[in-house]
Parts: sequence; C-alpha cells; structure tokens
Amino acid sequence: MINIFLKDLKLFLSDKKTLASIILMPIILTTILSFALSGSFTQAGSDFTLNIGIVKDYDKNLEENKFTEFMLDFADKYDVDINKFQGEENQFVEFNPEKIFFQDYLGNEEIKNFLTYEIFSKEDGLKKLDNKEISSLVILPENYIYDMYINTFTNFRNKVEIEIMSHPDMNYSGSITRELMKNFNDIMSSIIISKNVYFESVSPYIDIEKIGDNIPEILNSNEYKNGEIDIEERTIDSKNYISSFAYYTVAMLAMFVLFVSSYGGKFILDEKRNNTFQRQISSGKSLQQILLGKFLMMAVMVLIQSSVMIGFSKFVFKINWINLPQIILITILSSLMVASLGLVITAITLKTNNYKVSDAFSSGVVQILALFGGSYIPLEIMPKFIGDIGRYTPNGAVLKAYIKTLEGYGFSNITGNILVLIANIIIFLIISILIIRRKSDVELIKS
Amino acid sequence: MLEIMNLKKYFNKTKAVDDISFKVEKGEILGLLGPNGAGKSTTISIISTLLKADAGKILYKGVDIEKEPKKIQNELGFVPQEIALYPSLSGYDNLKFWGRIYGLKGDKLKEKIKEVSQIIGIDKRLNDKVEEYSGGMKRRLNIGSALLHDPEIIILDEPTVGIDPQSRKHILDSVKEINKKGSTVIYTSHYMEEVEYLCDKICIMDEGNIIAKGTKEELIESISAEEKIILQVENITGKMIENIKKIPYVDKIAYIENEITIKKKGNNVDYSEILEAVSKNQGHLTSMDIKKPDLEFVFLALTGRALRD
Ligand SMILES: Nc1ncnc2c1ncn2[C@@H]1O[C@H](COP(=O)(O)OP(=O)(O)OP(=O)(O)O)[C@@H](O)[C@H]1O
Ligand SMILES: [Mg+2]
Repeated sequence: MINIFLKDLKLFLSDKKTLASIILMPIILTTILSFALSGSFTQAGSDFTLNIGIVKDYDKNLEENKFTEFMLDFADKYDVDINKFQGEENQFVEFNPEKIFFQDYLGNEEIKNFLTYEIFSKEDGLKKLDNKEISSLVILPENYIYDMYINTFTNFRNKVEIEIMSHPDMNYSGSITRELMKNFNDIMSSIIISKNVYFESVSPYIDIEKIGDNIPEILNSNEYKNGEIDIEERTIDSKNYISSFAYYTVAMLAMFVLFVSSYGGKFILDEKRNNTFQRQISSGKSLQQILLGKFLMMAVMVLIQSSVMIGFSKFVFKINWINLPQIILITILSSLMVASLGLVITAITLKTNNYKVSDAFSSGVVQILALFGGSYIPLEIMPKFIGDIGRYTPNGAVLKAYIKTLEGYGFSNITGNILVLIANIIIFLIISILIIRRKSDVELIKS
Repeated sequence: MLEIMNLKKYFNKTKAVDDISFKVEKGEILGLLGPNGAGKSTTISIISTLLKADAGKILYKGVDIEKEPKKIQNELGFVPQEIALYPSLSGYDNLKFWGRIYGLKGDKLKEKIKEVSQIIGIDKRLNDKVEEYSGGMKRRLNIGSALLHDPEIIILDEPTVGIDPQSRKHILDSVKEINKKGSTVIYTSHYMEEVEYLCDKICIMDEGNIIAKGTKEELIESISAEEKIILQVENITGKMIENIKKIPYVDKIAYIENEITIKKKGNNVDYSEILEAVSKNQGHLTSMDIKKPDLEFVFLALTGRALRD
C-alpha cells in the first residue's frame, strides 16, 4: 500500500504540468490578486485603522425646536403636563441622538481602537474621498435629529436614511463602515422596538403623563448603555488586522487544495486505461488498498502544496504565521478533507468510468466552492446568504480557520470551523464507501 | 497444477466462455489458440482472478481460486494483452513498482530488476520514460514486469501483438528460457507459428468453446489431415470458389484476399482440375503451394474458416 502511494506520489511529482497548476499557479495568483486588491486592505498588521468622514446634513437646533414644538402640540391635545418637556431636567436632553452616535457609539472603546472620524462639509468630504484620504463618507441626513426623537419618543415612524459612500478602491473598508452603520441601526431599532412595545401594551392602563417617566429606564435596559456594542466576529478585530497578502494567500490556498481532489479520480482512470489497475488487482491488491494509496497521495499533495504556499508567503510577503500548532492542525484537517472529497470523486469516476467527473470538478465545482467559500471575495462583503452557505463549505471553513488564526484567535474560536471540516470529512468518507461498495467485477476492470 | 472445470462466462448475450475444461501440468507450456473474440482473454482473466466465472471451478494446486485467490495471486505472473505500465515513469521505476507489489525489496529487488531487464533486453534504456520506448520495448517490459518474483505460473496474453519479427523471436525465446527455469506457462495467441514453436500442449478455442486439445501431433492426427493446397490468385470470384468446391477430392475451402486454401481428401489427385477452375473464371494464378498439415489447417478443418479472417 505504501508502495502504491509512493508510486502515485511519484507520478504526481513527475508531471510538470500538473505540478505547475497545483503549486505555481496559486503562488502567481496570490501575488497578482494581492497587489491588485491591496487598496481594499490596509497592509499593516496590528495597527489597522479605518478613517472615515462624517457629514452632518441636519440642523441640530432647528430640529430640536421643531420636536419640542411637536411635543408641546401633542401635550396640548392630550392634556399632558408640559413641564415634563421643558426646563433643565427634561428627559429629552438625556436622549441626545448626536451624543449617542458620536460619543456612545463611535466613541465606544472597541470601535475607537480602529476607527477615527472627522466631520466635513459635503463638498470637502467628497473631495477627501476622491483623494482616498478617507475610505468612506457617512452622511447623516437632514432631519436626522428630529426623526430620531420622533422614532424614539412617539409612536410615529420616520425613516432615517444614513448614506454611506465608499471609494471603489477601498471596497473592504467601505464594507466595514457599512457594517458599523448597520450595527448602529440595529441597536437603535431595538431601543425603539422595546419602547414601542411599552407604549402599546401599557398605555391603555396608565396615565399618559407617566410614560415620559419610564423612557429613561427603557433606554437603560438596552445593551448600548452598558457599552456592549458587539460587532460580531466579522473581520474587524482589535488584535491583528490581516493584510491582503495574507488574505489571498489563505484564500488561494483554500481554493487550490481543492484541485488536488480531482487527481485521485484521474489517476485511477489512467490506471484503468493503461491496464495497470487490472494488473494490480490480479496481483492480489484490493481495490481498498489502491484507493487508500490515492487517498494518501492526495493528502500528502495538499500538505506539500500548503507548506510551499505558507513558506512562500512567509518569506516573500513577510506574512507572520503565528500559532504554528494551530496552523498545522488546520492544514492536516484540510488535507484530510481534500483527500476524502477526492475519494468521492474517485469513487464516482470509477463508477462512471470516464474523466468527466474529475474534469467537471476541477473546472466547475471548485470555482463555485471557491466563490462561496470566499476565495475570490471576502465573505463579509458578499450577500448574507452566500456567507451563510460559505461557512459550511469545506474550503470556506479552512479559509475562516486560517484567517482567524492569523488574526490571533485561539483554538476555542475556530472550533466551529474545525467541526465543519470534520463533518465534511465524515460525510465524504461515508459517501465514497457507499458508492464503492456495490461494484461488480466486470465494471471494475472495464477499461 | 491448474485445473479448469466447466468454466462459463457470459456478457449479456455474448457467450464469451461457454463451458470449457482443461488442465495445465507443472512445467509445461500450454497454448490457447483462437481467433479474435474466441474467449481467450476472458478465460485468462478468470484464471488471474480479475473476473469471476458465472459457473465452473478453477483449482490451483488443488485450491479453489475463487475461495482462496491469494494462493494463485502470489505465485502468478500475469502479462495482460494490453500493455499495463505507467508511461510517465521510467522502465526502472515500473519494474521497481511491480516488484514491490509482489513483495520484493532492497537488494533482492535491485538484483531481480537487473536480471530481468537483461532477459528482456532493455537494460540500456532502463532510465528512460516508458512513453519514449518503442512498441516492442514496451511489450518486453510488459512481460518483464511479470517475471520479477520468479512466478511459478506465468500467463501471457498475446504478448507479441503488433511487433516486428525480431522482437517476436526475442520474446518467444525469453518465454522458452523462463519455462526452462521452472515456470509453468500459459500462452495465448492467434499466431499458429508461435504456438507450434512454443507449446507442449494446445487448446484451440473458438466462440467460447475448446474445439480441440492435445499436442500438436495429436491435433493433426485427430483430423487425419493431409497436405493442403495454397493458391495465390488475383481476382478471386465466388463462381471460381464454387467451381473448385465441386471438384470431388476438395474437402474444404477457405480464402482471404488473394489466397485460397484447400483441404483435399484422398491421394494421388490431379491438381490440373483446380488450375482449370481458376483459369476458367479469369483468375490469374501467381503461385501454388502444397503444404504439410499444420495447426492452421487443423483450425480450418474444425471450423471451416481460416484462423485469421
Ligand atoms: N467486458 C466485456 N463486456 C462485454 N463483452 C465482452 C467483454 N469482454 C469480452 N467480451 C466479449 O467476449 C468475447 C470474448 O472476448 P475475449 O476478449 O475473451 O476474446 P479473445 O479471444 O481474447 O480475443 P482477441 O484475440 O481479440 O484478444 C468477445 O465477443 C467479446 O466481445
Ligand atoms: Mg484477447
């Protein structure tokens, strides 16, 4: 069996063309992609910062007055004590949309670590954006303050549209800014929703004048007051921000290892065509032994491929592959994943007795997996459903696990990806066993 | 040593092997002779455990090979009809791989590779890739790959197809040499001359059946054959053949291209009747040959067809 494996490995290594497409190609592609897209990443490791501009398209005083008027009018109609809305200690001062956005949200410790902002006029902001001095421009619209008040303190619902403009070259930063704004929006919505539930369910039973009293409490109950603004995992991290070189090295690696999986099928069919397969069977080698040889060959090829890529990126791109044990673990799992996927392809190839399966796989399926797994475009900036699927693709899991490791996360943060990988391996192995089990001798040796 | 009993193998409707039985004794060379599609390769595939028989049994040294395939697998050298080598590996790597498959290693393996490559005459090209070999060299390496482990029994399936007479001679002599060293040989071919030259015992197969078996002499004896007449005629016509068939002493007749083969019965015949039939039908006779009976003749006698048609 070792003999079969060594022979397969030798066959692989003796084929210059294959070798080039498996090892040289990813290196070249990584280099090209990294340079082409480096604008969307900042290259520094840990001191990644996002520099954005903010435009205040609203008039604070005017809108505050407008709201007070609205409330006075409201109070008048419904006979509410207007003192609540006036004077020094009214609650509206405490709820200050401007303060919430700039101080509580953007000023939050987590965000402050990587984000700096400046306030511009619209023209200046656009100019800065053009010159790439800032990566995105956030425009708080007219009536922002007024609408925020209305949404928070009344049953009315005014749409607040925050506009985000990004430089196309800084796509990645733009997507992070969008995520930040979305996150802000989510927090505000949750505040508004809990407030509304209160209004709707309680209002029939209590004096309308007392509603105002309780609003600060409702606000308090919300997470944002605790300073717990969570930006999920995303790629934003305060520890390490990885460069485009690192991202694409890993992305290309996660994709190109998949190509190896088509070689088991190709090799076994070659062996059937050149009758060496039949000869091995007649010498008493079992199909299982031959398949195990292919399995090992593919696994080892992935290990070689990964080591070359990692080594190359370390010396040429100066990528710091921290946490080596974790990297090795991921690499081994990825090699087993590819080998077991390859076994499925080998089994189907054996069954159909033609090269189409392995060809289709290497030319089509790999590309789709690569797309869904984030090898071309980071999952974070793709539509959500793709990201969700991507998480469960084997290459997506490999990619994620590597990236997180590079970002400085420990084992507990990649267990999800590891489990996806192990699940993939198990599923692939079961499928291949099911396919291989029922084969007649005639089918088997047909060349 | 090897006993084949009532072996059958059908592929859908094709009766590739239809109830055949024969024995191979230790140390002999058995020839399986038959035209394309006779079932030779199928028979051999079953013996070498690549295919399972639909019915019948094969005993190797008294052991049923279906129940204990390892027994024969370990002692068998199988040379398939198609070349079974890795074209992108060198001759040496191929031999090394096949040697290891049979459990050889280290110095012993190196020694055997050297020995075998000399027997098959490719020792000077051992480090070249097989895809760079000539057809004959590939054939020889194909054989060599089955010899490394000194197999007790060697099965060669048409090992000389498509190669020049010189290489063929070399191969035949190698087979003889291997046999002298103690290996039992099963050799299939549709070349009469090869089987006649090599084999102690011959089975003639046609359409899945063994239509005759025995030593060469026995076979010729069995059809009480005499000489045959071979005519080279340009523009053979159906009418001409009909006319020849009507001649009383003509027993059987077959033809391919410009060649007519006639089996006659009785002695002291007048060949001029044949010549007449040819010229009467505007045939242009270029040669006439009277031959002692051989296996081709036996096949013709048994089936009414030439072996290669
Ligand atoms: N795998 C298969 N499936 C279907 N039919 C087959 C298969 N293998 C062989 N046959 C048929 O069985 C018959 C015997 O074939 P076989 O290869 O044994 O002949 P052979 O004597 O070796 O001929 P040749 O001299 O051409 O090699 C043929 O009619 C062939 O078409
Ligand atoms: Mg054959």
